[in-house]
Amino acid sequence: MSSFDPKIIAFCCDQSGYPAADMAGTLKLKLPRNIEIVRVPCAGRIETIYLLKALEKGADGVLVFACYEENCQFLRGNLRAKARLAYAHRMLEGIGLEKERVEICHLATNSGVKFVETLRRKSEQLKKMGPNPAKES
Amino acid sequence: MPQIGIFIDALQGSIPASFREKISDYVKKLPGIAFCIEEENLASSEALNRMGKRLEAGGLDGVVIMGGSPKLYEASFQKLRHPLPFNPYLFAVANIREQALWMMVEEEAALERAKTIISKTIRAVSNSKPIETQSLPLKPEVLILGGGVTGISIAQELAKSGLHIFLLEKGNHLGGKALELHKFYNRPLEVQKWMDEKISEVKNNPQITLFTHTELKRLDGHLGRFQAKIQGPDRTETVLSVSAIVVATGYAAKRETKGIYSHKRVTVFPEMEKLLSETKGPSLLWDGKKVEMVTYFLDGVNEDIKVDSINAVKQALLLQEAFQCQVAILCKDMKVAADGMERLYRKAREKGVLFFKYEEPPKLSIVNGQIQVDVRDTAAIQKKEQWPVSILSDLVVVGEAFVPAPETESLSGLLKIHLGNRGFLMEDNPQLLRVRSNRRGIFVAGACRFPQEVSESLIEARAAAQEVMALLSKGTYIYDLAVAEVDPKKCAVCYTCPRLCPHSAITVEKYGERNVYIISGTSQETKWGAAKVDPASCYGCGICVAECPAKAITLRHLTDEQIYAQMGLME
Amino acid sequence: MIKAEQKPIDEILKYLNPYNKILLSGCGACVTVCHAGGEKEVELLASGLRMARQKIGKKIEVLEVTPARQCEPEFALELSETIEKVEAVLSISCGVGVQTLVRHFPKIPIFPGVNTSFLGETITHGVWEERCQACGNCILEKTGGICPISRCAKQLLNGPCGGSSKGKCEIKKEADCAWQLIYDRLKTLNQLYKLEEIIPAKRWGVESRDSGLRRIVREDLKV
Repeated sequence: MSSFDPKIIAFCCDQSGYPAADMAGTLKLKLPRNIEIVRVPCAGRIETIYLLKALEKGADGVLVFACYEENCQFLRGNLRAKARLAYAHRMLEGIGLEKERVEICHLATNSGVKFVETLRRKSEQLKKMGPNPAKES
Repeated sequence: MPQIGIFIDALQGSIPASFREKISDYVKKLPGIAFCIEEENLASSEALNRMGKRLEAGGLDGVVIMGGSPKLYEASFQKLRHPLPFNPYLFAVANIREQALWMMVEEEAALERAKTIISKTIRAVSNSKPIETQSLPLKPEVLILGGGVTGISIAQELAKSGLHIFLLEKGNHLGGKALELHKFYNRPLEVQKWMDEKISEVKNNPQITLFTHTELKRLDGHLGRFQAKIQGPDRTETVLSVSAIVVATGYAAKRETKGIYSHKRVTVFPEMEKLLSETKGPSLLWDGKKVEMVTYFLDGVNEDIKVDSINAVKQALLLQEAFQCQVAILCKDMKVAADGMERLYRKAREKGVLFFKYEEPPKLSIVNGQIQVDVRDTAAIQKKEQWPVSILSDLVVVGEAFVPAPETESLSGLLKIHLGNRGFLMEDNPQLLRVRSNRRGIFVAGACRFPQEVSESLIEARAAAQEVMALLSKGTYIYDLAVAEVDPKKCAVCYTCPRLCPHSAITVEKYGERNVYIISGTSQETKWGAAKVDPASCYGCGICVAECPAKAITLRHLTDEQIYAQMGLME
Repeated sequence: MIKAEQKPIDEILKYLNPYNKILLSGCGACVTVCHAGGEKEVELLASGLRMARQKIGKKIEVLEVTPARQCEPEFALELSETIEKVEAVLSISCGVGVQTLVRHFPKIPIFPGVNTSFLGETITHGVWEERCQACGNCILEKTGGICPISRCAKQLLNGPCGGSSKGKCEIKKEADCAWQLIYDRLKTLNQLYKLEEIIPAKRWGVESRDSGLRRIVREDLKV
């Protein structure tokens, strides 16, 4: 199990998540190895199916990095993303998968540290949880 | 096989040569690579010129820049519109510096990560299509709702710039709440006189068409082609076609009348202004009796203390100087955050106006036909024992609750713009876009956003006028078609997208045939209803795309395929 | 329109237990509009099903399709070729659509993926409420346009009952009392006199489903 390196797909909203990722790099903060960063204009663009497909097609966890609530450039994109996560959580519970595999993190452009810490914590959590048993083999 | 051109940006050495070499070796082995060029600093104009020449040669389906964050390049390519002979949407950036080199401990891991990013980016750009630019003609015509000081000032500013203004006022005269004022707090003018001049200028300005007793009934269309149906006296209806709209409908005040507030010696600010403007003699009379002691009670009824603070201090000085009254101002907080207010406040203290700061609301009672105000002053020197003070007052002035103008809610529905928490109209972004509404081409200014003093409204009016000018001065609005697009054949007309669009850019429109959109009013043969995104009003956030239950909407610059490519899922 | 809600996925998984290749069919009409069975929901449910089965080591192949309206024979028949390739069908159209498929494909098991809830209207985005029970003889004219059959818990024709309290229903406390609404509405219209007319008991056994299957035959339309 120690060699298990969880794959995380990190959706980053262009207003906060993506700049926070850049900030993390600029600060030379080290990221867990197996992270795919997906850049979207707003967390509101992240469809529920992307969250599910990520898990189905091989990810062990999914993180959505969105703006703080009430601080969305597009008014409610982050809230829509949060609501879609709730849908995904219901689905995961129904099929017996840990809903913690999909999580949303609200941050700001300068939250490089929070970005990396969230991913590290998620990576550790997923290591304990073990590989996603529902991914395509 | 799409042909991709590669530029590796050293970013002035911040990506070391050894790393670049490995990247370049990797890239050159990939299929479909037309060329791979290294640049020391891609954002420099020399490098951009070289890049331009290379792209002019043609034969490419996409370009991938390998370097820093895409945000760096987007700023120089798209926002500055550097004239590269290549569609900006066929560029993609592999962020190998911030998100690989700098994020991994060992160089080996960084290289692996960079390779993944590169192959994803190449796949994404191979799926990209060029996105063209469109332009929308903008007539120099603007509708302003509200003939108060904000609306009037915007109309004057815009008329100066040669625009034609339709100024709508629901009442029968211009001026709004400013007419309740006697004097400004910050300049030695009589408000009435100043307003009269403004109003007569507006009335005589050929650039301004004035409608009084007129309301907006319906609004169709988007930026550049709004169709506003207005209803004037005798229910006459007119349709105005305008490029932009400014909402300046102001606020309303609600007087508290319960209990002691209905006593004849309790009054409100506007009545005090009226009294001050009408009294010529050396002493002030109220209800036939001389007024010697006036107490202001802020914060009790009205939470917006800024406007009341200004007026209380302004009136207090007038009362002391012109009518030899003693004035006390009771407040939880005094707000002096307005131009010159700090100075005015200090002056009031020096002139002997008494300020009491309370936590527990003061008690008002009737004693011998006067109002006794009991207050515990928490700002007194003796901190331990708060000072109980009793003030026998001839007149108590209290605030009125500031509420949205009664038509605000229906107006927000008609205009499809957002209301904030307290029911006032909301700006698009409180930090950046104060006078823009959530809809492109509709602006909100003045006290319809929050209660404000005339001087603040004048600043907002100027800001709004500048925003309108910035939008209309070129005569056209140029925009990228990097927007959401509905496939009318798949649309179930469920109204999900018009309800969720944060910028009210989507309406359900008639299409001539199932997938041919006909501009409204040009044909009678319209029958097919489906959602339509107005490309000039869309900000490209993608919320509608993700919500559509029929999967009928695509975001042209970020399709499912491109997202799956970024996720590394499409093999 | 018809309003439906997706069944819990664990229930659906039980139906599909014996099968390894299915067709998941949505519908482009009512269930798309109420976000229960359109193309998006098809995609989501398909992904969920695949994951659930992958997890227990029993892969399932899910073909996805969303005809414009599953309750029309022509649209149903378009699925013929696809249906031949699968062992079972999961339909997330309303109960009508499921049965259209059953009628045209008698040899293959067809399961419902949604609960068809009611005929209702959209209150706000994401909130739907029942408005009609298709009782077969509309009395809205007598009740100010508010239906006591669908909106009164007791389906009273001459209400309200004694349980109407402060405008709310005693059976479902959060629901408005239909008869209060009827009264208020008739008052607004100045038609309170309509309440003086006793609405006769409905002929449930003739007009409504108590007499068995209902059918509309339009001779003039038949081809």
